[in-house]
Amino acid sequence: MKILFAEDDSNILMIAKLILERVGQHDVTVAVNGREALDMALANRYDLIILDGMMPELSGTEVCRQYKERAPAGAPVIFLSAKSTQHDIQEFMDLGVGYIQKPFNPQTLCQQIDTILKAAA
Amino acid sequence: MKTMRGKISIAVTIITVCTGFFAVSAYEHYQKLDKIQDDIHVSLYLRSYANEIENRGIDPKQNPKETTEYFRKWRLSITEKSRNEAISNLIQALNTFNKDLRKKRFSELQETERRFYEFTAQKIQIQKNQFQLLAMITLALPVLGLFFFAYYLNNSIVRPLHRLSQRMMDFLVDRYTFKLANPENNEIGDLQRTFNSLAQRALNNMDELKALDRAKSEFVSIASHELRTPLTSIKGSLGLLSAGIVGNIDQESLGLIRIAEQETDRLVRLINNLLDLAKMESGTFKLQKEWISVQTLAESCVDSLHGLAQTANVLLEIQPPDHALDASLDKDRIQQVVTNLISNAIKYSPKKQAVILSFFINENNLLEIAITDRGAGIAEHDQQLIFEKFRQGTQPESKLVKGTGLGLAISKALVEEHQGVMLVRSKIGIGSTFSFTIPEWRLSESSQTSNGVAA
Repeated sequence: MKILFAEDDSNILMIAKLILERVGQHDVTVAVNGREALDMALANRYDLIILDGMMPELSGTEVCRQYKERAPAGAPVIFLSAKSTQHDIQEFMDLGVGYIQKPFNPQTLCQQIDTILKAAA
Repeated sequence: MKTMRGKISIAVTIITVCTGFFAVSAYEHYQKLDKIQDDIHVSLYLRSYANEIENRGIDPKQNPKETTEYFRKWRLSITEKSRNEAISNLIQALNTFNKDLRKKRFSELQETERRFYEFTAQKIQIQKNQFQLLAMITLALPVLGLFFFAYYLNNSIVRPLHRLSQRMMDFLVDRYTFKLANPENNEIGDLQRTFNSLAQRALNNMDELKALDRAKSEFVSIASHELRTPLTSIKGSLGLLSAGIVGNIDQESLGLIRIAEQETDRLVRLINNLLDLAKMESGTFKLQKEWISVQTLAESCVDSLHGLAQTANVLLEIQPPDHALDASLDKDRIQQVVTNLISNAIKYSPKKQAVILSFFINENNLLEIAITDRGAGIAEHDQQLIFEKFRQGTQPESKLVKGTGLGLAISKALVEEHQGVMLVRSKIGIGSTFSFTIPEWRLSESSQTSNGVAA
């Protein structure tokens, strides 16, 4: 799968990229802020976009909102966030196809993504 | 300015003065009529005496002095000049013993008396009319005054008080968007202004509390985000290492990495528990209730702890009731509570003994889910302390499960979110039973049919 992964924390970015590449055998492109993520999502074709909830420039939810507006038939979006209030989770579920809570389990991250995508399909 | 007090005083004064004026006038009229009555009495005596002399032919010569004395006395009590003169003439005529003159004087007197009666009748009529007019005026004024006074009382006291009490009722049922408009410059107005100030202060306090609440939730939200971000990197790195994704690691290092992983998980659980407690305390926690079979819930709890029970060499048993039951609850949260209670029970249970999970309808008609162990038991004075945060029993920590110190506190809070009660019954040396109640339950429909078929 061609995945766009947007995350402002460089450590998490590195670890998640490693997991997705080594465990899931995915082709991962990274973005380090919301603006970059939106530009890349609109310029290229991806199978999946994973967005951090809180990022500088544009928040993950704002990126998703604008992306869906400009590319309605675009890739599915999964949020990966440390936020856990009912309100935040509801917003993620309404905008994207799913939500994964940080800290994620590195062994099961790829399975979690598959499950969400299967449920959304 | 206290205008209401002033207005009431004026109204009372007007009414009192009018009534007093009427009373004084009525008394004067009474005196006048009394005087007229006296005159009439005198006239009646005068007449009857004169008639007696005239008709019976009593000779005043026989008793002249007494006769003239009577007339003289009556003459003195009569103020009217013409009657006075007429009586005076009669007395003179009586003294002259002239019969013709006497007759003439009598007829004069009679004429004078007749005029007197006519005049008196007129006078009484005038007095009566005057009295009626006066009574009408003096009674109409207080009645009018009372009418306006009542109108004033209604407008300035009764209605504002009614409005005020309605606002207070609104305040009681949490409708705060109001303010009593334009309070008047009197005592009721003062009351309204005081109420406005009190309401404003209460609203300010409420705003402050809301702001405080918001700040607290924001803090919890930010703190959890900030704590989880570094934990994501730690957990991710350790996971990559322990799974051998980035290369092989010797056994000893792997052991150390596993410890770090376990402790990271414990830290994550602790943060999640703290967050849940904070949410429940601030009232922002929301349950996702659904109707679920209690048997299914019990089985899934027991299944998830199968490994732990085996490692500890403890048996796990479910004791279901005769009738299958459904309950309305947040499945994940109640599972969390039951799992917590069972893992505690396993932790303190002696080897080869059973930990029993039972559920039934108790004497208060509530669903009760109970977990019983044959452990050492908990002393009575410890039985409430164990529900406090970061409190654990005096027994040494088991190596099987490391608790966060929040397990029972959060279980109790979750049960209370379901309007249930957490109970503990324990005896030293015999064992402990932890149980909790769920108010919303019903007999399973499927079980009723299957029971019907079986019967």
